[in-house]
Amino acid sequence: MKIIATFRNVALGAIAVVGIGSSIDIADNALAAGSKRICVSWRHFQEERWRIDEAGIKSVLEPAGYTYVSADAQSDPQKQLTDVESLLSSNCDAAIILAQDSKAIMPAVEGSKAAGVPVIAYDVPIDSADVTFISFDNVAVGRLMAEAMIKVKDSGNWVKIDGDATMTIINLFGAGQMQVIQPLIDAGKIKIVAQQNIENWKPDLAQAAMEQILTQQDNKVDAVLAMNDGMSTGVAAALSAQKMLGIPLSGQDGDKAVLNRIAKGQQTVTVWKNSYLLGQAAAKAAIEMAEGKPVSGQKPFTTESGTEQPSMLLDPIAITYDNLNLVVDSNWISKEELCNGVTENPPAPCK
Amino acid sequence: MTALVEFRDIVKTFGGVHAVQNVSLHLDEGEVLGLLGHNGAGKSTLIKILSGVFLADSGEILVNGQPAAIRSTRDAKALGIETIYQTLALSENLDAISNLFLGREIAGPLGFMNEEAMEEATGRTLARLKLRLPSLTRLVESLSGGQRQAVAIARAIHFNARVLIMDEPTAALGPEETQKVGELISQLASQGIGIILISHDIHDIFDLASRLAVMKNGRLVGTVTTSEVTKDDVLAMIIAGKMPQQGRG
Amino acid sequence: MNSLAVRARTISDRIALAAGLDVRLLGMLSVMAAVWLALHVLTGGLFLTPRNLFNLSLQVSVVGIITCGMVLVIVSRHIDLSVGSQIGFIGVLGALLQNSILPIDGGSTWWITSLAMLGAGLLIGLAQGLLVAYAGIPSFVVTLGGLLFFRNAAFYINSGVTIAPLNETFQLLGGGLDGTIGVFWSWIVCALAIAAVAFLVWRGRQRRSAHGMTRRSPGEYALLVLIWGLAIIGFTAVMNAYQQPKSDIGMGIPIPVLILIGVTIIMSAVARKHRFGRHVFAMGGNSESAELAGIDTRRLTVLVFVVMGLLCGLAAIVITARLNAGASVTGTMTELNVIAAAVIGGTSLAGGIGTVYGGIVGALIMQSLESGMILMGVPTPLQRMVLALVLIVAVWIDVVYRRARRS
Repeated sequence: MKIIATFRNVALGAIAVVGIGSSIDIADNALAAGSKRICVSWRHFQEERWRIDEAGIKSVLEPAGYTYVSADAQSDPQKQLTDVESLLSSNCDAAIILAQDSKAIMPAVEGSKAAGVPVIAYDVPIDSADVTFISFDNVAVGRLMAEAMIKVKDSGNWVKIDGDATMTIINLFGAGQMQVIQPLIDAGKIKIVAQQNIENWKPDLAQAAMEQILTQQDNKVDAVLAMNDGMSTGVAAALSAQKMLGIPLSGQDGDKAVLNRIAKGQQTVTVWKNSYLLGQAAAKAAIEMAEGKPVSGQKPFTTESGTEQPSMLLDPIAITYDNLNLVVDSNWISKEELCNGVTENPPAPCK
Repeated sequence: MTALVEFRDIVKTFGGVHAVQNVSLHLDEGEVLGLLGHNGAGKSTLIKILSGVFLADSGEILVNGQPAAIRSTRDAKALGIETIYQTLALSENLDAISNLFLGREIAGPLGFMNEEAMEEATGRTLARLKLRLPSLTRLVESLSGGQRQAVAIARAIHFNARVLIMDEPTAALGPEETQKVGELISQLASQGIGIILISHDIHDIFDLASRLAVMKNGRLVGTVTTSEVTKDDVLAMIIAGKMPQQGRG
Repeated sequence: MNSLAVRARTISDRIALAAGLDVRLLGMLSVMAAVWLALHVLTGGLFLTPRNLFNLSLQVSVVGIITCGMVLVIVSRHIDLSVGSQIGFIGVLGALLQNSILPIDGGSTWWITSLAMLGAGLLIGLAQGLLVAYAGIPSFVVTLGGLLFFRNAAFYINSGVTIAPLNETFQLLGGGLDGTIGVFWSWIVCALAIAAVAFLVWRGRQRRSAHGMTRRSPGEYALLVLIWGLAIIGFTAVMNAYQQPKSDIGMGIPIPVLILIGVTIIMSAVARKHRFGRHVFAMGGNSESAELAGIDTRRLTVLVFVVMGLLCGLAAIVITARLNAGASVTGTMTELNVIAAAVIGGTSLAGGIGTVYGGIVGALIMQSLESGMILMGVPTPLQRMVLALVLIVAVWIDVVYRRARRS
């Protein structure tokens, strides 16, 4: 009886520890006052990309003698507020925040300002004059994606598969896409025949949505503008079932599986953001801010509400069949992974 | 004559509470034994030891003269000891047939049940006991109290019970149904089934049981033959723990 | 009581009896038929086409497989919140296995991977079941822990990287161009199914007469077989009518749909006709009575969770094969869809009541609405709101219906 009770308590405790412990990751170091420390609040660290950003950040912080401390909000805006509070209480010299929700994060920004800790809004915009916005030019993401697509096909019936409707960043991607597509729509060359937002950017939901759209349009679809790689995987599966794999299809993030599809000619483009470089830029800026210097290379940026904030916007790169060497040369993907299963018409790096 | 069931020196303690202390009792074939006492006297515990819910700390139980190892309700049922609990212990979301055969379903080698066989058997047993149900396939939750008891009784009898334990059988019944239960008990006893009735209502028990055993605070106060005592005598046993004086009645 | 209502009840009772279904299931099927008709009109004639129904059957397969297990879990008065995370984790596991460890084009890769995925589900179910049954931790807590643990594990084991493509034979298990059994074999399956129905009906009749019970008239038996036969033929015909794109070869029944049908039949038979299912219902209705009847309720609980885990493994195989990729985010929120389907299908969260067939029809209704709304071009947040309202209304109707039945 007692053994079972003990086991039960241990199990309950373990569940609690796993739940809590999987989110806070404080590096092993002393909380000495004045020690050089940069705090990073991730919104959902486990997604494919952020490891690379983190590696970029650390690659600049460590040689400069700075400590890296982070927390993972696991997609919960409330948790992110607590995370930032905890991080601030460990004495940050500067904070890098990748916001889960741009509006809900405001109290954390104000808290940092009150604590005298400069804040970098990382990748996701925060509408405040008190933060420095360091990101890829997300509007450029949409623009480059669409430009690569119209280079292959600039007319016909297009389908838009957009990201989760609750995330405001899709507005930036969409704005960039429309910069390129709208004139063609106005000229009557392109028609957007269907549009769906995919909850949580889930690939399997994108697949089902695309199946329905293809049914609705009786397969008369000429191109699909998918906002990220995960969803483009679902779209590819749906196209494949209708023997339509190979029509222009876009994505974002440079997923290895997608690069492989591009090499095989089954996808047109993925907008690649070398997030290692972004991490480095943010770390560099954070050190400058921690030392009270102005951020070098910053330009003013106007937010949605018309507020001006300092910013650094890096340019993403559209990876298509023609420039796959870029991702191989930068060690983002190995040649084996890129060329796996490429039989006919291999791109340059696979020859 | 060998007793049908014999308790020898049964002891059962829960924590620091002596629920049953050195109780020895026997039940003969075809006998109706009433088990009386206050709440907490130990009646339910004693009976649950017989029906396999509890394991006695010490003492033994003999069935037909042979020592019996009753470690589970299945063991008890295998020995022909069936129980009708006060709450009836029916699953209300199942029908009468399912309840009757619960845990003892007629099934093929793979475990798939033969529902028709079970339905027929249920019908036969109810008819044998002259009990009526509006439908065998209606869920028990839609049956009346008396009908539910019919199901519980049929369940206890169907599997060739030799010993039947009934815990507060008439507590929730009206006078007409109580009478029916009484007739049933007589009928079963006449078939040689030994019946133990637990109750705290002397009046019902007096008419049904041929012998009475009274417990108080875990101990057996004593057993008396019903025809030789009055209700007041029994009350004195229950309340004061005093045996009636000899030579009365 | 209103005599019209009484007559309606009797008519519905008679139809239900004729078809061998219970009245509630008949009601749900009527609702589904009404929804289908409405969607057909609202989508301009697109909904009730072979193509859309074919896709619908594929789209419902994953939730359907899991719902079959969830019904038993909820009937036993427990809950499993971890199913979505399980299929995410097991899916990524399977993708990793065939992409990195086994040869991607090996002949035995597909079944080794499938066995491994089923095994993973079984082990997860066993672990959760043991914690619930023997450590006495409420299933809500254990499976909530499972939800968190396996969702994070799904990202951890592959660093969140989507793994694609997958083994070609494995992909067949998810449908797709080659993932059907073709027209010929679909008709064979259809014929076998009708033969099985006829046999079961005949055997039921034999058994009833062997035990001296009332039987239906031969005409009524024929009607029963006819109704089911027509339904099976209709289903097969629709699957065969959907032609491969750019050809006139009929597709036939997709493999995941066959899997779903198989799982549904087996789980329903187990729930209604097997000792195990009967004991689960008894335990869910009154666990003390079950114990007194000699049923080991703890072992039974473990088995219920093991079956659930096994079905999660199977669902993970289908969803991963269908997507042709292992993605860590797959399955997020699926537990809610599954529980909604079970509840709409008549499973009570208080335990003891529920049917597998009802759960499947519930899943079909939800998926039909979702897919139909995409056909209509309804924006996603609005779709979600509609589905939420449907869930509430459905359970409300169920509560009213049960109250009316009782009076």
